[in-house]
Amino acid sequence: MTNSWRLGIDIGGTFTDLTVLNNETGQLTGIKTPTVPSDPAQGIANGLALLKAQGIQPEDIHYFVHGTTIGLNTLLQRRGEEIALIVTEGFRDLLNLQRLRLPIPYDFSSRLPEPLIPRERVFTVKERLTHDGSVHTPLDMQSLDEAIQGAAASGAQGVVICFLHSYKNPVHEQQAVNRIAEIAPGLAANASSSLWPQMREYERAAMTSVNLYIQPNVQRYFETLQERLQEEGVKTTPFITQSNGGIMDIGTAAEAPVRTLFSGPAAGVIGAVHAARSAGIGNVITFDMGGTSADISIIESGEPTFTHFNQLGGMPIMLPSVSMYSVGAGGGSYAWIDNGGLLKVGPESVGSSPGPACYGKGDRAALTDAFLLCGYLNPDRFAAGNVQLYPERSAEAIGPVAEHLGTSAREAADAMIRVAVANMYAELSAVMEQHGFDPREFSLLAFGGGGPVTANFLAEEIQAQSVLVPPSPGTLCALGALTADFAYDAVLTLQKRLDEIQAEQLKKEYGLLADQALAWLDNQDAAGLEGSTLYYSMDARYSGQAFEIEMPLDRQLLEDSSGEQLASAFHELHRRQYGHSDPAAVLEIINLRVRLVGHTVKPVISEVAEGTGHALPTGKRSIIYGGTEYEADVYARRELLAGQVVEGPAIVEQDDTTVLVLHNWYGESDRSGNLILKRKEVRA
Amino acid sequence: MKTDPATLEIMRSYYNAIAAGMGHVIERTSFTTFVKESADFATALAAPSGEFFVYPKTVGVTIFLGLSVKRAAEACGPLEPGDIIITNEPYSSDGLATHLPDVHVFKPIFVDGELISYAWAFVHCSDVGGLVPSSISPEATDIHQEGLRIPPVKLYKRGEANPDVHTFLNANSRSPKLNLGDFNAMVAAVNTAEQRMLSLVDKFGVQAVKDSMEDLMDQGESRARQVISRIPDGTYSFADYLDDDMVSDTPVRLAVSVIVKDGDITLDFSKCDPQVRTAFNLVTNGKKHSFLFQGLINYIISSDPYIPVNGGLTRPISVIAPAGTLVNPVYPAAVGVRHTITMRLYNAVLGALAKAIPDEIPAAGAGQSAIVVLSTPDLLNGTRNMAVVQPMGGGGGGQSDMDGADGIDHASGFLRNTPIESLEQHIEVLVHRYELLENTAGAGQHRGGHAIVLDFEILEEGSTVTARGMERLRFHPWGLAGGQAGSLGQVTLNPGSEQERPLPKISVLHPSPGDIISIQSPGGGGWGSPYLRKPEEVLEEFRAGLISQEHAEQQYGVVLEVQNGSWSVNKGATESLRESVQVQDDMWDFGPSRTAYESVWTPEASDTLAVLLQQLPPMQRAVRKQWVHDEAARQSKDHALMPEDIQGLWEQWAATAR
Repeated sequence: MTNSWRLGIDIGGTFTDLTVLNNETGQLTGIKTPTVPSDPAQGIANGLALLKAQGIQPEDIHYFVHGTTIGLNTLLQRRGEEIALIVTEGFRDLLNLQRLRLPIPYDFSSRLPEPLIPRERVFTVKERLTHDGSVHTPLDMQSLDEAIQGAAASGAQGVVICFLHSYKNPVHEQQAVNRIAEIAPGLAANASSSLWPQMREYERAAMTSVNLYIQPNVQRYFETLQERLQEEGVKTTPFITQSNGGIMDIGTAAEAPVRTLFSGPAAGVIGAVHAARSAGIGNVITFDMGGTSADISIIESGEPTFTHFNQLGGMPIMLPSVSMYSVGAGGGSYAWIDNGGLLKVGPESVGSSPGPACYGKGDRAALTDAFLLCGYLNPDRFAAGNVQLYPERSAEAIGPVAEHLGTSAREAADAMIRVAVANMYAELSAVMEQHGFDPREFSLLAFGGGGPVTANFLAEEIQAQSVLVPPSPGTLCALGALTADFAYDAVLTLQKRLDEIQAEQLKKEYGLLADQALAWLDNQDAAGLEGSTLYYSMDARYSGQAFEIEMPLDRQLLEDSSGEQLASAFHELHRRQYGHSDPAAVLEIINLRVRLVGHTVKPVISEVAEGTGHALPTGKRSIIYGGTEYEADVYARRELLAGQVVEGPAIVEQDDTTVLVLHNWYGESDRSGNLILKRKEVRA
Repeated sequence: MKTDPATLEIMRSYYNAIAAGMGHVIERTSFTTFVKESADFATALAAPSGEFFVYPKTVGVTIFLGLSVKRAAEACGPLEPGDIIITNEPYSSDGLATHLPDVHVFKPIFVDGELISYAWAFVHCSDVGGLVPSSISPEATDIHQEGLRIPPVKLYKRGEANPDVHTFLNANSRSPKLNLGDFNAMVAAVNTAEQRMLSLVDKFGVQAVKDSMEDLMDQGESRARQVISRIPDGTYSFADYLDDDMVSDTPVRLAVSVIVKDGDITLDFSKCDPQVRTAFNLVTNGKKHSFLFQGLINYIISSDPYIPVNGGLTRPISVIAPAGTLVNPVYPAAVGVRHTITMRLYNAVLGALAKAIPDEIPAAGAGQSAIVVLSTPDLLNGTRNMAVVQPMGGGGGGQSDMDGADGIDHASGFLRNTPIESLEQHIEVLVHRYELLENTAGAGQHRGGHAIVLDFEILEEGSTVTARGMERLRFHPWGLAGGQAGSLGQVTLNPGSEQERPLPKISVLHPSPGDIISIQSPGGGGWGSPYLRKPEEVLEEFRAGLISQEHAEQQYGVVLEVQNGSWSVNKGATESLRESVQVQDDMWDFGPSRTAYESVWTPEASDTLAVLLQQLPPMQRAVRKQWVHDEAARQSKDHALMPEDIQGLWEQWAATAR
């Protein structure tokens, strides 16, 4: 066995997961250690010590990928830097007015989220560009100086600059950045056009504010991390995962930490892509159920889907990221009875402290308690036996609910699960309908601690083709980090009617975007890539429509990008997505996009030995669901061989999760160690 | 309850998925920009009674939840499986449709020949003909000027499209293709819902489905009643005004008495002003219509956020709305801008409730939403480009536990603005200013929301500007519980220049290139005495540039001072100033113009006239109301008018007429 390892690290709210992969043998090892919230790098150091105890030396780690939640937490907990904003005169309330619409319009107490920068620290400057980027009012240096002095005097440590139409022409924003360097060199400056030059002033300003707001915390953490790694003897520098599912070097991440905000779940989806490919399944709904929520993402034909717009803590994040949607309750979501006597589960969660009642500290019945009471979980083997569960505490906590329902504790637990699943079904089907996907053409890929327990119920509801449970569902994020590629997105807002654009101009603009992306990759500290691929797309719409759709351009379409060909490709896409098209309508092109993927060398993961026939159960347990009791066979996941079958009703136990197989389903293990559940009726 | 509490919650999720699913089909497949820009559509499932038993909160607009498909279904009966009904006609649908661009489509769902439900959807379509493109003009004087009326008819009969109906519809729109796309989207939506309802029946059985519908509406009803029963029994009367009716300067008065008794609420509009000659009327046929009490619905849902949202919520509510009033106009009154009146009814009903439970009711917000539309000539194609410059709402009302929202009011809280960059890419215009305006929030312990100002420069010859829905240019949003009224809206041409001049409420403007039009929204009313506001909060808003030093001192009694370039509260001076001023503990601050108006046209006088007018045929009432007002002015009756003065004028008219 050679001593060359890859290490992927994902820091969650409760645990820090380390996944190591042997470069030669493809052997995967997962390690969990409690997260140290006050000093996350210490949690990593603790994990490295555990690895060392297993004979994995820090100096033998040659590739290190890390997803960070420092930026995310800084934003959600509002612990960021005091910063100021400089905007075009007449638009001081960019951050206050936002897009106006109240989060819950009919609720008297609903308010827009508090901006990261209070009005007191927003300064206006006399300048104006017009929509084509030409200068309408030149930048007035006196008002700029006053604004900079005001920002400095306000106690701000940094300044965001967002001028109207800077996405077309960054000239004034750059002048402002330069002037800040001259007269207030202590102030960090971030121009909206250099971070992400896309049209929409509020979103651009807010996102740049987020970036500057979280940056000092993230940078401090990166410094600590690198010091700590050096102390521990790790020789390689870490790569950081991004919201777009790719990785970047740590220096780049420190420049634009806003790109890391969704990196944890995005890495999970990349891990899911890897698992789905290994199982030979193309269309997948990832189903990640953690402590506080269940989240899904859609993988179509083996590729993750992306969104160009997201929200976090009320802030718009106008960057491409792997698509993600919350669909409801997590393992910590607890049951309660509403004003009308209806049984509800969530959205409130018990959190990691006190945790579900069965952990022995809290007194609220969470979904995890329901799973335990219904017999799905083994109280003595939860989290590899690291957490002892107390079913009697669950029963006690669910008592009032059971009393209200007039049932036993066990039946009440069953009802809780049904309520939670029906709610997830409603949310999930809404996401699918919004995007025009038919869930019957998809498989569910379950991960996170609670995903594999719940997935079969949900699959039954949405009539999914199968349920895929990867070998180590608890550490899919870390695996995703290990298998991720370098990825860079670039955007240019064009906003022109197709008939006003020359094919040459399009090609030139795309060329510039591609150059920008390639330069980024060149500057990455990335050796030994297996080549790179450029992806081109445009956001287009029928003139007058409010929303644009993204149209991928293949090489040929890009080469002879004549108006007619682009238009007919768009009509076809519009018809596919919305069921109709309008060949007589004029097209408008809003944004040009380029995505560059630098392919990392993919690890080969060791396969599972072949077996035949039925797996041998390790025992039996009585379980309940849908109001019916069943005797379920219990299996140990690590004993399942490729090709072996488990018949539902069954429970498959493993260190990081538990899989529930319904009575009308069966499971089969494949060579990659995936457990795939299917309906018995479709078995040949 | 026939359904157990867990199963009912599960069924609720399924129904919600079906109803919201219809909405997503429409979002994805409809053609009109109204769906995508302002979410002006809705979907729901109705029980056989016609009431909506599930109404999604997250998709479309919420205001239709109390409506019923009953009358429209009866008009088309008998219904058969596969039928799909279409209508946009207020008078023959009991106000299911409230103006003609809202086209409604619904489908009865049968199981073994028994009607179990209706799937329903509406979309605000692009154009249904009428006086102006997109069919809405405040100055329409009868409904026939507002476009094609589609009484309830079958668009599909036993699953077969009815081509005659399509032919008629296509011939009567300026954009038939867009409309057809919207109709097809709604048809796809109700068909999907039918399939999903039937599979639910397969899964749970028809009886369980029927029981759960009733149970959900009972839940809505009993929980609404729980909220209402917290309001002390009594009769609470209140009125609010529209500035005018666009064809005269006479205010339009919306009077309501809210009668609360044992968990039931009656809204009595017997003293409400008559229907107007312009398009502000709201058709209800005298039925309980949820546009009449959106404020009350919002209060109920705010008080019980998990209440199942459905028509059951409105069961404790009944309405008295005599024919010929603004809230029950008779054919052929025009109805296009009924949203304006709906927003003022929001204030009127909440104002009445504030008399009972002031701690739970916000002061008046801006109470209007002016949709500022710029139109420029497209010389190339001989047509015109149009764009919403911004929707102009205004500040929200302060409430007992928090300040009002800046720039946006709950009555129009669903509005989204347009990025300036995207607007300027779309149409020839240069926006100079889009900001909050200082000193415009009604002062209060919890102040109102600040007003917004929008200044934009006209660049093209031949541009026109409209702003339908503009209100509160005369009567301020009221302050509550000692709070001050919010500022008025106003319109100015070329502010800050030598050509500056005030403009009246915008109907249609024909500005020249280079002109700057400045529109200021109203500010929200304050809640509680400004003297109770913490001085540090006043200082903070001064620092933020939202109030001036003078405003802090005059409105809040807070003296600010500057030392070494840093501002602070002068505590001693503040205390003595606050002590020296006699605090007015008036419950209401209506602002100077309403106070002045009511010093002549007392509420009693207006009540008396409104009741007298009901003796006349509805179409004559607005004219006679105007005559009485004119005559009162001519006789320079500038003292407080008493009911007997009105009676006198009334008899005088009868004498003149003879």
